[in-house]
Amino acid sequence: MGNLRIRSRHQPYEIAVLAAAPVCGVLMLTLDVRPTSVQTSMPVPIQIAWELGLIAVGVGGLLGIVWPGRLSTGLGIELASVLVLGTITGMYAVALVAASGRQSIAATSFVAAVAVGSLWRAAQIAVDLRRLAQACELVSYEQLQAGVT
Amino acid sequence: MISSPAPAAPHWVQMALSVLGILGGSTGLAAIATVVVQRGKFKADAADTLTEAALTLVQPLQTRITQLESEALNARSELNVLREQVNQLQFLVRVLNRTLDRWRTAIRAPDATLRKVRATVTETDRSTQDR
Repeated sequence: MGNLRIRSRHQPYEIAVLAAAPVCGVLMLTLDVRPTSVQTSMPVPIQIAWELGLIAVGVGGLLGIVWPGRLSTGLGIELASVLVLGTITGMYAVALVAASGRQSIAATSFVAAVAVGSLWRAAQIAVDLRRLAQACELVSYEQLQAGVT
Repeated sequence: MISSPAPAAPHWVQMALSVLGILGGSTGLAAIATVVVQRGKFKADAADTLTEAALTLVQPLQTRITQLESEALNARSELNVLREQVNQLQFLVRVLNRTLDRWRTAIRAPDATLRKVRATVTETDRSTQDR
């Protein structure tokens, strides 16, 4: 029987970014400010979706991490959140490059790093979910074999 | 809010970002939908999975342990029986040694006669019968 190991879900960088995202989104919404790069390089509906996405991603991701029910559901919510987080930060990185070019090297690097990290984490979660599904199949099969109730 | 000045915003960037955003958003939704649809695959809770997996690991060990325990019990009772037998045999050896010594002294005695020796033997016979 393979070893069933789900990676720890308390990853400091991920939690910090997920916690910062909704704060950032709510502040931008309530204060009605947006980064110039986002304003110049996205259509207005996409801008609004981008902000709402930040909030949804943060709340959803943290919810998925502390999800009290099934592990698979929590992982799924977290997976969706980090996928969208990767998209949102990737969009922001592209917007930064488009708006400020070389001036934005530092900002772009870090934002792109968050995007890469999010997608990386998404891949990890996908692997974990597959392992979990395999383990569930394996356990029930072995139970049938052994006659364990 | 500043009305978009858009000097540094080529149209293709807007298009690309829109496509990227829609793609990412729909991917996220698809991920949630997939997990919800495939929920049947994950029958157990996390805790359930872990305990059940542990159970499948522990089960053979447990049967092996009970097997070994019963074997150890058998071996111990057999050992007791054998020890009892050894005790009895030791006792018997001691008795026989004593008898042999008595006979030897009776035979080696300077005034040994056949009758005396016979008397000694009969005496030992009686004492063993008494026992």
